[in-house]
Amino acid sequence: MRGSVPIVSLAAILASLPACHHTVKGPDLVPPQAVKMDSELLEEFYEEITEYVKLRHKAVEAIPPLPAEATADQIAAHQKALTLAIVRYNRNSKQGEIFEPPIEAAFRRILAEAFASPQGPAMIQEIKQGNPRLEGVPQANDPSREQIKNVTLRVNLVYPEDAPFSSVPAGLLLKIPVLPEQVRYRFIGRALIVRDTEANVILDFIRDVVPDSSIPR
Amino acid sequence: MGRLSAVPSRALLCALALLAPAWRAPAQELRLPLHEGSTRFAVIGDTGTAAQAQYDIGKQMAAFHERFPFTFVIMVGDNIYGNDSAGDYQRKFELPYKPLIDAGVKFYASLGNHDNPNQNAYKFFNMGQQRFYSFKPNQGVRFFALDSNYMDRPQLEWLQKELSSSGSEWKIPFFHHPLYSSGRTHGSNESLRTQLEPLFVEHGVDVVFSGHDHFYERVKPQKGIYYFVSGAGGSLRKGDIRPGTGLTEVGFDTDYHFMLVEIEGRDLYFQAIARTGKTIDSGVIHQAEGHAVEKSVPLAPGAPVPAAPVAPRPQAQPTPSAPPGTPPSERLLPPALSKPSPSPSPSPTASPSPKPTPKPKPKPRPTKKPPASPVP
Repeated sequence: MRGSVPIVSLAAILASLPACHHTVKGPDLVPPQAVKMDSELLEEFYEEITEYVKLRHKAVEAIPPLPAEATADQIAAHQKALTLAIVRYNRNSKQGEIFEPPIEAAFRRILAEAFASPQGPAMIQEIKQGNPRLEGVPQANDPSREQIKNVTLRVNLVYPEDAPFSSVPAGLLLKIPVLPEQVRYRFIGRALIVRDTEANVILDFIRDVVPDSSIPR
Repeated sequence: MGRLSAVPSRALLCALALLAPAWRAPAQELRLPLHEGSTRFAVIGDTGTAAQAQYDIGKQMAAFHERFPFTFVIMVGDNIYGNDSAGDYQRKFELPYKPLIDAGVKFYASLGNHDNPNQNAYKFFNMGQQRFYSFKPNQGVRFFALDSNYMDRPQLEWLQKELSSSGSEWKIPFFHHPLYSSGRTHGSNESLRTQLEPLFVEHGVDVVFSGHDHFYERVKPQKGIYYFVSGAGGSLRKGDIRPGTGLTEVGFDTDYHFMLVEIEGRDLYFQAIARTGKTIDSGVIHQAEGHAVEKSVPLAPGAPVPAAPVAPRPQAQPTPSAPPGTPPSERLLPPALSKPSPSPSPSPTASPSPKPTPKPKPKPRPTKKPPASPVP
């Protein structure tokens, strides 16, 4: 490990961020992004992500864009087309292609450190919220009853559209590399996943990173 | 035998007849002052189940809209639970709120942990295809819709910039996960609080709306900020408010609800209403002159909000953050009653502006909160 690497500039290249060019009045209260990861590893990780985003761009180009003010039908049709396109483009992908072994090891170390910190227990509590292994969906005939959905952990699998999303603690997001808008970290059970936000597809995952046996795998 | 049974029946009927007006009185009782030109909106959360209760709430909202013509609704997440096909959008949103949509009421959504991120393109949610955005419905009031599912640095930077450059007197963030909540199931989101609270305090935020926990809770002011949990617009966890957190000013976890809010000048009036139409909480939050964070406590439940400008009770001192586990200082309070209010006034138009912020006007800058003083 060669210490913390400031990754804001890298993230800015990748992420289509909202305009952040105005100066902030008053003190800067946003904590820095502090990713304790070897800079080469970090670069490698971003290369993988960039590669995916490029591939995704090709897939998106092939389908009609979603209007700015879409109807429910248009959203459903667009998502279906996008999901199919991503799954097709990504059909040969395997686990560990984004989280290559050394990157996976770095993530494991960062996460273990975060969960062992004084904020760790609160973070784990938050990861449980919306975690599809623990939380279900309120039923129309009785919203106080929730039905847990089965979410299979596999690369290039569609995340069930009716399953909830786990929280990703804000404090944790400051310790791991920033992702572009098209992809997100989430948790399924004790695993960290990277998921395509719009296409709703699992891109890669690392098993057993949350040290809490009360959460099903 | 028949005669004997008829007596209690008649008595019961008489009793019911006597009670009926009393039942009707609290139902659909409007406590908001309806000031001319005020900003009026509703708050709903955790709605999209397509359950009967969601439709009941939609009906109540429509009924109140007749007398309190709010122009927009903010949604604090979990807008569409489960599947989200076109039919789901209909059953879980368009139909329950059809009278409001038909009346031109706009909805501004934020995303919950059950929401498909693609909802940000849905025309009725007015999100401008952004997962976080701001809009200014009226002079002096700006809303900040946040994606609390994923509070990464880009979003925090955006929020800081938006808050710092906004000259609005009322800066109102709304998002799904509550920073403070007595929920047994979820409760306060501490990691989110660590990131957001300093921004809210620094930039003069007074009121925050969240959902996620399926009940109503008005949290005691934390560092001078009022937090509302309004997460039972279509889902309910009965008895989920944990006593003993020291956070609850008013809580209601036995039925579904929604909120109505009116902002006029430096006063923010609020009313929380149950599925039955009964008021479960109401009050006014006052901003002191030229200072966004000096303010008074809301009127206690039971105290009417008059149609005329209110002289609210000042808060003795800012309430510090109460750690979970501190002894309860408040029990869940019963609904309060009061009088109806007068006629509607012209309503402002909401215009979304996802991202660019208008230039702020110079304004006294809240930094640290002075001791609260009585407001004349």
